[in-house]
Amino acid sequence: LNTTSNLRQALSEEVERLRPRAGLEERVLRGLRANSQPIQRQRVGRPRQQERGEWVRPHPATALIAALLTIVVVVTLVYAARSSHQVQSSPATVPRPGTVVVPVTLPAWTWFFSPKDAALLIDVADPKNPNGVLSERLLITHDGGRNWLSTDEPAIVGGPRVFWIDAKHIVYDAESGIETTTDGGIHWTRTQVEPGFEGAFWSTYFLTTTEGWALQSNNVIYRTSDSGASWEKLATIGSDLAAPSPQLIFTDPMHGFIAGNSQDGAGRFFVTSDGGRTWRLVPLPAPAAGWPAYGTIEVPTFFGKQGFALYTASGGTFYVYFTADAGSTWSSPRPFPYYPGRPTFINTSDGWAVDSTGVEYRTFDGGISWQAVSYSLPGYLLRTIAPVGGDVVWATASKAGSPIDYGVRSTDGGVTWSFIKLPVQ
Amino acid sequence: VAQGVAAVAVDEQLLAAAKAGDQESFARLIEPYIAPGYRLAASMLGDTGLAEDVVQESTLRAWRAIGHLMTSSRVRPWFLTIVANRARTLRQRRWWSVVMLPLSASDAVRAKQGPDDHADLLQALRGLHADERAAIYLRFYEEMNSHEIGDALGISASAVRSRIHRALRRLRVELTEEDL
Repeated sequence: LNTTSNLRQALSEEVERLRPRAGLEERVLRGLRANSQPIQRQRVGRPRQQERGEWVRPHPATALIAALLTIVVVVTLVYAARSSHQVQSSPATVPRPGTVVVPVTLPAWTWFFSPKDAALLIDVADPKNPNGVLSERLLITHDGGRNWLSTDEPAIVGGPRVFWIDAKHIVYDAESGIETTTDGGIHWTRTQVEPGFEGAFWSTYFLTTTEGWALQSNNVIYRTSDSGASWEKLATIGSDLAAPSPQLIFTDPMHGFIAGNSQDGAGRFFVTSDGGRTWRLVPLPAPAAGWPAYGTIEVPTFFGKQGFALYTASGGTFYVYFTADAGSTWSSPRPFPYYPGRPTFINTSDGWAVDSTGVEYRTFDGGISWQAVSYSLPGYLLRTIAPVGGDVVWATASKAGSPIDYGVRSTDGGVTWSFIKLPVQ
Repeated sequence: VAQGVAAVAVDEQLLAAAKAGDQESFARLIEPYIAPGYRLAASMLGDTGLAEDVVQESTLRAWRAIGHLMTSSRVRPWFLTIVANRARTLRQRRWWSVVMLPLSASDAVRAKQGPDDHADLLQALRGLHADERAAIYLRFYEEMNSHEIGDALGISASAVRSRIHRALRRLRVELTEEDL
């Protein structure tokens, strides 16, 4: 047996091996001073509506277009004033002449896509400075990138998760709280599920615009029936769920799943049939070679009563579990024989994936066979892929070795791609 | 004691000034935690370039979220939380390039059997899951207790102890109650 003294010695050697170049603090603070605009400090009270969000539409910034747009704005405002209280109350949703900008192709640090052809991105990157951020605003599109909402960023710390309910309702897991919007992202309301709790959120799921559940890192499950304004503590599940973070999903108001892993790597589902008040463990069959040291079971995806769940074993082998009875029983895990990368399915048969070298794959038989899709994106590699439906698909792409991603979109099954242009002033 | 009280008072003044928009006060407040943040990211990612990216980005995010920090006494776990989350996000995004740097088959077998010398201990350390490596690093290098580590990693103190206990078993390190 080793001693903790041996371990401390080994850690010291690792720290030395991974020692940064001299002047780390100086470089980091220089980057802070160069790239950070103090736009969001100390959010005391709610910002004025005009500061919270504005719709901007990419368009060549010519005088003619600006003049036409001004006319459109005036007409729209007159129409809005006459027709609908909803539009009346949201003047920030119409383009203002001052917000017309030249759209440019820029990367961003974090992209989220929804199956409704929407995208949300955080931190538009400065291409001249690999660590820099050009825009600290959050950008959302609901129409495939034609129009963008530019809004103050909700309080992001760490790796946020975005849950799309519909075009108007988005839930955004932030620092020990949840940000929700009911107007497509113009206004955000922050709620804290458990006041005083400073841990992390593992998962949020909304079945409707009002009814949702949240799972915190202390394994406590909460339910809301008023869009997150208030939360009821429902239950605490087994304490040996381990990172990576467990996720939850509900298929109707009574039936839900939590997918997680035990400390020794076994995938497991907790299932409820009473809306989340009680949970029972559903054992999953182990892969033929047994449970690996580490693995990640993902929350199941359902298409009617049929569903599947992916299990990623350490070493990169992927398995898929199938159910034909809405999750009551699960098949033995089937390895993906030609598994090319993390797949995303839009129904039980049609799925997409991208492998580590940027090769794009598609399956039409539920992952039994995969065909490489030949595409042209010179100088860039696809990184992630997010199908919308049919032949419409979003993806991120980056230059080799770059940590920042460009958004791209295809409407012909991933053969040709267009870079997403962003309205950054 | 008097020096400690004075230091806390200074940090509280720096925090108040940072919340009011003084970036230099924020820089003074966060500077002591940049190196620990870098080491945490490096321990999770095993890559110096990515670790520096993470700590750079985390510093920017901390500055933008400084209004949410209630007391200067929580700067370290708060900042390390940001770093750990960013490192996790980057690790997920770079799933194949980072997580797929596995031990070779023979190394994996050897690590499973347990390290029996210093080189094997190093190898086994690198073979731990990133979240376990983070917990081990914070406990035995930064000398943080399980509550502080739990704050930083977003898990309970008991989960921290469980994680460390399991990692030490895999490393075949003799453990005592104090080590947890």
